This record gives sequence, C-alpha cells and structure tokens, in this order.
Amino acid sequence: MATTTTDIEADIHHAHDDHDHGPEPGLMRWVKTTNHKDIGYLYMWFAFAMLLIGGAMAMVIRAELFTPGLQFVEPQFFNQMTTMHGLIMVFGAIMPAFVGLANIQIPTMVGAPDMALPRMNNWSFWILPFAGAMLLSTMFMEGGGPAFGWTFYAPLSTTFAPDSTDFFIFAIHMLGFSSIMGAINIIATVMNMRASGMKLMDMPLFVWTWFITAFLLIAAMPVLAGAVTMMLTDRNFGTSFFDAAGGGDPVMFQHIFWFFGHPEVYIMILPAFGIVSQIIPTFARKPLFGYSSMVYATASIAILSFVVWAHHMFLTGMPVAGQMYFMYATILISVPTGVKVFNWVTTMWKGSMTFEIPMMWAIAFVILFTVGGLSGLMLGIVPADIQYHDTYFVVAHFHYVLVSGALFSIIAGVYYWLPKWCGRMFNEKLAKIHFWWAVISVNVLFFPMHFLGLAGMPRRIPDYSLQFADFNLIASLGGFAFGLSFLLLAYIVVDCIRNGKRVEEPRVWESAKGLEWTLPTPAPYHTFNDEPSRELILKESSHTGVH
Amino acid sequence: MIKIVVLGFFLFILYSLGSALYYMMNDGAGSQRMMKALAMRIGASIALFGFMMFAFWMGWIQPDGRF
Amino acid sequence: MQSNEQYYVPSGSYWPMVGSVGMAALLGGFASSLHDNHLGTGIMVLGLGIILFMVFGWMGQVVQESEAGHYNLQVDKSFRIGMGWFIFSEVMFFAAFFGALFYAREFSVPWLNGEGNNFWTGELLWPEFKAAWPLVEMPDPQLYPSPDGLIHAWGIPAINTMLLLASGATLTWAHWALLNNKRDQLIYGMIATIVLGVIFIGFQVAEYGEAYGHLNLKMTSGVYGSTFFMLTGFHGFHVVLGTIMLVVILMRVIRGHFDADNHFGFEAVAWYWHFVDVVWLGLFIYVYWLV
Ligand code: HEM
Ligand SMILES: [Cu+2]
Repeated sequence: MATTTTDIEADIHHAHDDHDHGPEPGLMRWVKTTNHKDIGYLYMWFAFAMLLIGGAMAMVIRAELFTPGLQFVEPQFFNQMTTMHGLIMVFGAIMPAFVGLANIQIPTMVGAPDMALPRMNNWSFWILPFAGAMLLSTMFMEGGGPAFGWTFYAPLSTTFAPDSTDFFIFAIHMLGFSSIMGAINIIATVMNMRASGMKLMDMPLFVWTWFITAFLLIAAMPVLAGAVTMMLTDRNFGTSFFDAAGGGDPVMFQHIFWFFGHPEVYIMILPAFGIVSQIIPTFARKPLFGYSSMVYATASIAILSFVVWAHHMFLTGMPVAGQMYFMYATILISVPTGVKVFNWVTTMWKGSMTFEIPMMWAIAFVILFTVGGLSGLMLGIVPADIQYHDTYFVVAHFHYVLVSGALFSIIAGVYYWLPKWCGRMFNEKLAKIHFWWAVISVNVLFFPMHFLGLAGMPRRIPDYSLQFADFNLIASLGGFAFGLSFLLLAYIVVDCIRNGKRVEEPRVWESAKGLEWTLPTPAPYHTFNDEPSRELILKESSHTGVH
Repeated sequence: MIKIVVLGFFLFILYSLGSALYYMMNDGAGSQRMMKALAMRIGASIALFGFMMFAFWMGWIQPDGRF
Repeated sequence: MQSNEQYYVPSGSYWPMVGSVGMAALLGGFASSLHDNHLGTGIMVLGLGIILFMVFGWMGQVVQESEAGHYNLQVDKSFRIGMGWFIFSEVMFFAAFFGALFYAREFSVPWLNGEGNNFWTGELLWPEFKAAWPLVEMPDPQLYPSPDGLIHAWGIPAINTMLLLASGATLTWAHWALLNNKRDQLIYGMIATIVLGVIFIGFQVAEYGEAYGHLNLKMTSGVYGSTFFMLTGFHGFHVVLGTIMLVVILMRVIRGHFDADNHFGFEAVAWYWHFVDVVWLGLFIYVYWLV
C-alpha cells in the first residue's frame, strides 16, 4: 500500500501497457477503489443490507398489527419502527441502490472508461456506512430513536423529540452530502465522459432519467440539509423557526420538508422509469416507442415536481386558492406519467414478446406502478384527500409506487444486468418462483390497505378497532411472505455469483441493445479504453437500432 | 418602484454571475468571457449599492430603524 | 493505441475513507457534546482535525498531479462541471434559509396577528401580539425575550458591503492580470482581496459582539434573530472558507503555478468569492434593508 506513487504511474501509463490490469488484491481494494464497478457493487450490497434491516422493522410493524390490541411492542417503540423503516428504506435502500446501478451501468452505457470524478465517487459511497451506522445507533440511545415519522414534522421532532434526534440530524446531513456528490458525478460523467459519437438524444433512457434525477438531487437535497439545520438550532440553540411563540411556524417546516420531499419521491421513481425503458424493448424486440416523448416527459415531470409539494399538506389549513392550485398542478403531473405508461404498452404492442425474468418484473412494474399512480390521482383531489389523508390509503399509494414500483425496477435491473456483471446466469427456475411469490405476496400485503384506508384506519397507530381486523390479518400474512421472498432473492444472487452457469456471450439477452452488451462478459475491470464509434452507437441504440 | 429597480439590478447581477459560471464550465481555461461577466456583475453591484445610498439620501427609502 | 490517451483514471486513494472517518467523528462528537457528553467535544475537535488533514492531503495530491501535467483537458472539464454544480447546491442551501425568512415575514408573523383567514389564530393564541417586521416583540415574550435594538444598516453592514464589493473589484483586477500575464498585479490584487476579506470577517465578529453584548439581539430573539444569525452566520462561514481558499491560491501563484490558459483553481475560487459576495448583497438588501 505504500505504492501510491507507483500506482499513479501505473494508472497514467496503463493506457500503454495493460489496460485490463485488474484490481488491487485484498480488502484495501474496496477502501481505496476508484473503479466505477467496484463502487457500484459496494452501493448495491450496502443497499441490500439496509433493505433487510428496514424489512425486519416492517416485520415488527406487521406482527404488531396482526390482530387488534397491543401484542408485542410498546407504542413508542412501534413509532420508532415506522420512522426508522421509512428512513432506512428511502435513504439507505432505494436511493443507494439506484446510485449503485448508475455507477455500474452509466459508464458502460455512454462508452466511458469510468465515472468523471472517481475519487469523489469513492467518497460518496464511503460516507454511507458511517451515516447508516449513526442513524441506526439512535435506536440504542437513552430515550430511544426518532419516533416522529420519516417526515419528522416539527414540533414532534423539535420540542418533543428524544436526544438521539441530533444524531439523526447529522446522519441526514451526511446522507445528503453523499447524494449530492453522487449526483454531481453523474452529471459530469454524462456531460463530459460520453463517447463523442453519442449525442444527447442518442443516450439510452436509463442514462437520461438518471441525468435528470441528478439535477433533482442537487436542487432538493440542500433544502433538506437546510431543514434539518434549522431543526438542530431550534432544538439546541433557541432559535424559533418552527415555533409560533417566537414568530415562526411549524407549518413552515412542512413546506420546507415537502419542497424537498416531493422531488425526492421522483428521485426514487425516475431511474426506475429508465430501467424499465431499457428492459421492455429488449424482450419485446422492438425499438422503444416514443423515445423523445419519454425524454420530454421525464424532464417535465422533474420540473413539475418542484411546484406541487403542498399536496401533502391539504389539511394544514391553507387558503382555498392554494388548495386549488396544488390540486391542479398535481393532477397535471399525471399527464407525462401517463405518456410513459402508454409508451411502454405501445412498445410491447405487436412485439415478439418473450417473458424472461427481467421482463416479467418490468411488466409487473408497469401494471402495479399504474395502480399506485391512480391512487395518487385520487389523493391529489382535495375533497377526496380530506377523507384519505393520514389513513392507510396513503400507505397503500406510496407502497405501490415505491415497492412494486421503484424496488421492483431495481430487482428487474439486477436480474437484467447481473449475468453481465459476473458472467454467470442465475437459476431461472428459482427466479421464476421468486417472481410469482413476490408479486402475489406484495399485492396481498398492500392491496387490502386501500380498503383499510377508505374505511378510515389511521396510519402510524399500533392498535385499531375491530372492524379493521380481517384486512390487517391478510395484509400481515402477505407481509411475512413478501419479507421471506428477499431471503430467496439473496440466495439466488449469491448462488448465481458462486455457481451460476457461465455465460460467455457479450449479448447475454439475445435481443438486447446498448453499448454495455458490446463489452465482453463478464465486463472487464476497466470499461471502455477505446471510444466506441458513432456507427456502433447508432446500431446499438435501443430506440433507433433494428432489433 | 424602488423595489422594482433594486430587483431588476439584482436579477441582472444573478444573471451575470450565472453566465460566468456557465463560461467557466464550458469555455475551458482562460475564459475571457468569464472574466468579463464577473466584471459586469461587480460593476452592477457597485451601481446598485450606489443607487441605494442615493435613494436613502433622497429619502426614498428607509432602513428598518425602529429604534 | 492512440485513443487510449484521451482518458485518465486516477489511482486509488485513502483520502475518501479518511474524510468519512473525520466527518463521522466531527458530527457524532458534536451531537454528543450537545448532550453533555464530555468526550463529545474532544471527538469533534479530533474529527475537525482529520477533515482538515484530509482536505489538505487530498487537494495537495490533486495539485501535485495537476502540476506534473497528468491531467488532460477532459479532467479539467470534469472539475469545472463538478465545481459548478456543487455551487448550485450551495445556492439551494442558502435558498432554504432565504425561504424561511420570506415565509416568516410574509406569512407566519402576519398570520399570528390574525391576517387573512387566520382571525382565530390571532384571537386565541396570543391576542396581545402585534405583527411587525423586524419582529422585536415576540408572541410569547417569556420564552423569547425582545432585543434592545437592531443592527442598523448604515453602520457596520454598509461598511461591510463596501468592503466586499471592493474585494470583488480587486479580485477581478487580479483575474484580468492573470489573463494578461501580469504576475505582480495578480499578486497585489489577490493580497488586497484577502485583506479586505479578513477585515470583513473582523467587522462581522465585532457586529456579533455588539448584538450579543449590548443589544441583547441573539439567536433566541424570535424568528428575526433566528433568520438573522442563520443567514449572516452561514454567510460568514463561507467568507472564511473563501478567504482560506484565496490564501491557498495566492501561495500557489507565488510558487509560480497557473498561467494565462491553465488556472482552473483560480477561476473556481474567484467564482466562489463572487458568489459569496452576491449572497451578501442579497442579505444586505433583504435582511438589513427590508426594501
Ligand atoms: C401519478 C402521480 C402521483 C400523484 C398524483 C401523487 C399524489 C400524492 C398525494 C396527493 C399524496 C399525499 C397524500 C396524503 O398524505 O394525504 C401522496 C403521498 C405520497 N406519495 Fe404520491 N403521487 C404520485 C406518484 C408518486 C410516486 C411516483 C411516488 C414515489 C415513487 C410517490 C410517493 C409518495 C409518498 C412516499 C407519499 C407519502 C408521504 C407521506 O406522507 O409519508 N407518489 N402522493
Ligand atoms: Cu408528493
């Protein structure tokens, strides 16, 4: 390890001698690495670990709600579970998993050797374990962890919160810093490392959606940092941003939070759109329908996402004009969202479809995400939301878009690209079982929540009245089954890496398009040393290329 | 009226600052355009400050001074 | 294999890990110190030390590699893009606090006085309360006592505005000199900028002393004090950072780094300084002058 200078030399000259010289041996490889794939894999494993931890918390929640009455945990602990579950899934699982996919895939999809700022890339990742540990450590502190919901509304998170909240605040600062650096890196990579033969409108949609997401991150995360900073000073230094007694306003917290929060939900879904738009053309054997409308729809969703935030606050007592504006703006977003759904369906229309594992997940995504989008529309209508707000209907809505939406797309992406990463094929029989198991259980888990919400069951409460018992029981059973399915997923992935059947074909899926499929399988340590030509790029385009 | 003038100045300052950033990112090293944009922005800022002093001197605007 | 030379991938590095450890120690230590954990402060200081070590080590390595000519135009451009969008994220960070100030002035304070459809808010919460800006009499004076006075725009703030504007001018003068290979003028311009920055910081400290010592204007002085100190405080912090960066650049200039067409470090810091200057102008107008 005392070879830093020689390392530099080696890297500078690697162009001339061995450009597939491998990674540094030993554990230090992972600490020091500047390689986009190494860093991407780290992100993915971290996200998976957090997914299991957050999932365990969800199991506690579903166990407690299995029957009416208090069963296993104290209400205070129950609230910690809902809070930490939400925070860990959003900041620890979904976002890092998408950044991981971006790291592994974007350089290979734009014909670059690596990310634009590789050392910073390493830092973006290595902040995460520390931030995650700090967040989790709050659970073991005196007074318990945060119990105010993942939205941490003041004054629950200021006046009435436990001491550990300050650790939570700094964990959020660190997570935000990491995401901002990750986003900057993606922007620089797309703008500056793209093969010169690839114009913006030649880029694969996964690259496009992540490019736009990165701008959302850079605009939204600092606002979150500002919000938690004001929380910190309100808690410890006597400021009164969120305290009406000093002229501030707790509702101001909600405005600032949701100014971040709504773009945040799109941060978690735009890359999903990208993944699905890569997979569907492959297995429908047709170019993506309406490529440019997809790009424009993504961009308009991103812009609109900054002007609809108060649809989360219809009941905080805003003027009617405000309600009307936010209602119409919200419903406007469903237009570009609808454009996307129709484009996916039209891509499949009259295609020669086959149903390999990634395609099954992608189709499940399209259907179930649409269910979530439709309940979102219902929530966007003010008079209806007055009824639905803070009930299980909202829980059903966002789990359809986030679990069977964002998470399913991540699983789809992993199944799609995993053989490329490790040069081995997963066990397709098991994967099929996994798919049906997960898809059925996720619906058993979340669909009854619609009914619970419409009937008025409030969210974030450990007990409920008897009329909600049946649906809760069904949901809990679905929950346990869905939780178990992730152990199967873990087995499938590890088994694939260890014992999977070798794949040598560069084009793992016979009809896949894209520069990543022109690389050898498994992908070499350094991605593109030679810039791919424009002919190759056009031939490999998933939206213009002939399938 | 004064507000609008101040706001106009400020928007222009933001614009020139932003275009300097754009030139920095896109022109590569030694961008003359970046330097000019920055010069423009400092000029406008000084003019704005001068204008505010003048407006105060004329009695058009008052600082908050409640004490 | 000519085409290979267009790419540069840097070697592995320990610095990011050092930075992560430092950051965790700094923030974790800070959080513990807020709850009377005596180790906390020590850990925090240690973390700060580690971070400074990391910043200088990492940047030192980058400067070294840059001066050794290892970077090509593509790397240069990546740095530029990175810096540009990093600053944009800073803009959004300040925007959160400006937004809070706007909200307090335009909405929450008038509403507490019953404006609009908030009649009962005013009646029921603090009927005595009268909305005004700057807010000197809080809704609950027991919790948030009034200050005895405010910082007047025509005192230190106006001087500070002139100082910062002058520093922007001297920096532009230096920038012009760099582009025209006038090294002496470049050095004088930078020294002048740094001196002006330091005086600014001095005045700012004096202003805080005045506010806390004589005017009883504190962070606890309601939402006016909160926004005032948050905005000016973070701004002051950025001036300190900018000054340190200017000093580093000055050292490099004196050592003969940079020339008319290779000086990204200079451009980035110069732009940063102008940005901080514009934030101040916004502060001066919106916080002190309240046009
Ligand atoms: C068709 C587009 C969508 C519309 C019209 C919509 C509308 C809404 C509305 C009005 C609410 C507030 C409900 C309430 O609290 O009363 C809500 C909540 C939520 N939405 Fe959506 N939504 C849409 C898509 C999405 C997507 C794509 C995601 C994420 C990937 C998402 C994630 C969430 C989350 C996490 C919440 C709950 C936040 C909380 O209170 O904890 N939504 N949505
Ligand atoms: Cu929303």
